[in-house]
Amino acid sequence: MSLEPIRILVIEDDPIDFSLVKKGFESVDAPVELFHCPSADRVMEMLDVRACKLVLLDLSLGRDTGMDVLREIRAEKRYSALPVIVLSSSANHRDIAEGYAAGANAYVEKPLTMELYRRFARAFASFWIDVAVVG
Amino acid sequence: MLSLPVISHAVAAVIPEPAFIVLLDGRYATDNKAFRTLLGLAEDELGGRHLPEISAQALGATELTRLEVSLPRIPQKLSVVVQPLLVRNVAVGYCARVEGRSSDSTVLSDLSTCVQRGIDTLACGVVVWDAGDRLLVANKRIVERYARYGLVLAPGANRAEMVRAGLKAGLLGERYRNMTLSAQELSTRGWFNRPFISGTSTIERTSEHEWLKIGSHVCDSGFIVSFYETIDEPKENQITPAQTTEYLLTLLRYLPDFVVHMDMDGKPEFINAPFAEAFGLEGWQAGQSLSAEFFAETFGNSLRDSIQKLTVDGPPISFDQRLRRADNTFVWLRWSAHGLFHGDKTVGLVATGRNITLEYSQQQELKHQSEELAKKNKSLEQFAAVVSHDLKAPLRHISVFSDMIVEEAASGNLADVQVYAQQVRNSAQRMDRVIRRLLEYSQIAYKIVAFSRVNLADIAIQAIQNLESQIEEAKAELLLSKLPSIKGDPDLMRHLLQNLIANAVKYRRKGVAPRVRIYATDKGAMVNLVVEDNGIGVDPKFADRIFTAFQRLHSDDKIYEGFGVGLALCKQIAESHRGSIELDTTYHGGARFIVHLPQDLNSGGATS
Repeated sequence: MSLEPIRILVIEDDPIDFSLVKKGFESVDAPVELFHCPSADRVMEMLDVRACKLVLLDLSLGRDTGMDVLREIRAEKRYSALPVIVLSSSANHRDIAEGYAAGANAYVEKPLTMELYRRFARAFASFWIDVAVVG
Repeated sequence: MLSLPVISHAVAAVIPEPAFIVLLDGRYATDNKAFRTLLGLAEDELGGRHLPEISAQALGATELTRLEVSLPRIPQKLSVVVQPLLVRNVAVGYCARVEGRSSDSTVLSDLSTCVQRGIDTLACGVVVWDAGDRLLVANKRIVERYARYGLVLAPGANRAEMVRAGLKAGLLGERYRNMTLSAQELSTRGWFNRPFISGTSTIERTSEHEWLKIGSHVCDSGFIVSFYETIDEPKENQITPAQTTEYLLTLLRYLPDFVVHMDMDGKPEFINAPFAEAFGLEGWQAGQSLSAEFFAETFGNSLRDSIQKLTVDGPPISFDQRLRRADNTFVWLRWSAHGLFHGDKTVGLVATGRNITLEYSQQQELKHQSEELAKKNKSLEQFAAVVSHDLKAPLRHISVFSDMIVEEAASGNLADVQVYAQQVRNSAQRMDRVIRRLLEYSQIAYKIVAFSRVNLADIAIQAIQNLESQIEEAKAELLLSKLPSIKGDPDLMRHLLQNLIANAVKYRRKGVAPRVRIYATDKGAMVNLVVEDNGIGVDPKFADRIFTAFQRLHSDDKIYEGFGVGLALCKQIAESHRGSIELDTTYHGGARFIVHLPQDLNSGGATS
């Protein structure tokens, strides 16, 4: 395990939801650093500048859809292998199918309690940080 | 009706001695006056009787045969000299002369000329063709008639060729003159070839302006005998070509469809009466020429252009065309163009145009309705998306924060509880706003539009009354100009105006009393309804977005509070009235919204 913190980009337009994700990751032992990207038009810029290794993506981003952001990321050659985990309030099967089809590595429904946020953060860290080999 | 006995009669008449004529099949044809006087017979008393012995015994004889024959009604046997009636060495019958009554009872040497002489005495033209369609004999009148057209009726001439030559020469009038058919085509078309229907006749008007009745008979021997009779004028029960034309024109007059026959150059050879009348061509008569240019000017080139696309094997060409009629109304015509061909070559077209104006407007109405339905479906999808996100988000927040309150309370850490409780309350309020908007939207957006004549001024007054408290509170000044009537849904129009006026009052400049002007301008078939204020205005870059703000309710709250659903609804209402709404970005004194509405939904009708 590297001592360098793992940089995660959280693409989320709702500041409350971002604060909940952040709170959830506070219970994770591994060193992680979260970057908040509140709108679709800043995604590419932040990916380039922040050099994030993982992405958490909300599907509804004001006027833009997270699905379009996902396609945009995948269309970019240098980010085609970047792990993108969708974190959405929608449990609509169409959204889920479309998300995977567009290149999502996982699709997670937004939790309904703080405990579930923590559990998500720990599970996320233990797989994507401890187990998975990320490019 | 003329027939073979007539010829026999003519032939018998020119024989000086008592004689009778028997046809090849053994039937008694006729006799002459000397014969009847000798035996005391009446005219045609024995006609049609069978005398088989004569044909049986005389058959094949080219010279004289002496026979004793018994004739019906004649008690004594008659001694006759039978001699074949030869026409160009073909026996057409037998002539039996009573023996001993003539000065010379040997061969009547000029008997064959008797046939010619006999038929020459007839007033009508006679022509006989043999079983092989070769000319056997023709009388003087026919020969002369053909000669007048520069044609020689030579013995042995082919029937089909002679008929064709006659037609081309104008023997049967102008209408056959320009026929380009070959002899082979003539026969394949079955017009002049065998089997021939015996006893038929045709009446034609020749180029010499006389009426000619041509009758033809086929004998058992296969001969065709044609008679050309000149008649005064066709009798009433004889359908003449002229009457046929008149009859067909009458049929076409009562056909509601338009009919046009056009040549290759787009020149109409014929249009039927309804067509002519609808387009102000009442004076036009069948047969009168109509220039291609005039036709193209009035009806465009679509029909002429389709001539090129028509092929012998291809289907007819169909298309719809909108045309202005003589009375300035418009019609939609559905044309169906069929090619006229000569061989593989297109020589013109016949097109029928059906008035489908009613069907067309119904079709348009259906199209509009289905578009409306599609739009409603789309908003339903949006509705579902909003419910799934904009309602779920605050609900989820309530769940998370109340859960956190429970956690914190359990651990005795009350420091953050108030913050979390605040979040719960905010989320609940946000949810309430979303639900209100959804309700408002669903009430209007899914309403089926009920059209009636709507006075916009009345509607504006109702809208202002509904907003009384807001107007009062803002100390707003409203200027309502004269507004026209339109065809529309009163509830929806009121909602639209109420929304626009409410926005105008709401987005006022700080310290400036709102001034709202409501007026309309006529623009042809459209009414422009304008709501204009002196408020803070809308950033032009949001000019389009404000009408679709419904897509997102929560995060745009700060910018579009109140605009959100309201303007999206205004847009829907305008569109369901086949109109549109826009923000006039050229206006800088505040916000100016222009609603474009058709005065009458069906067409650009008169201004009311």
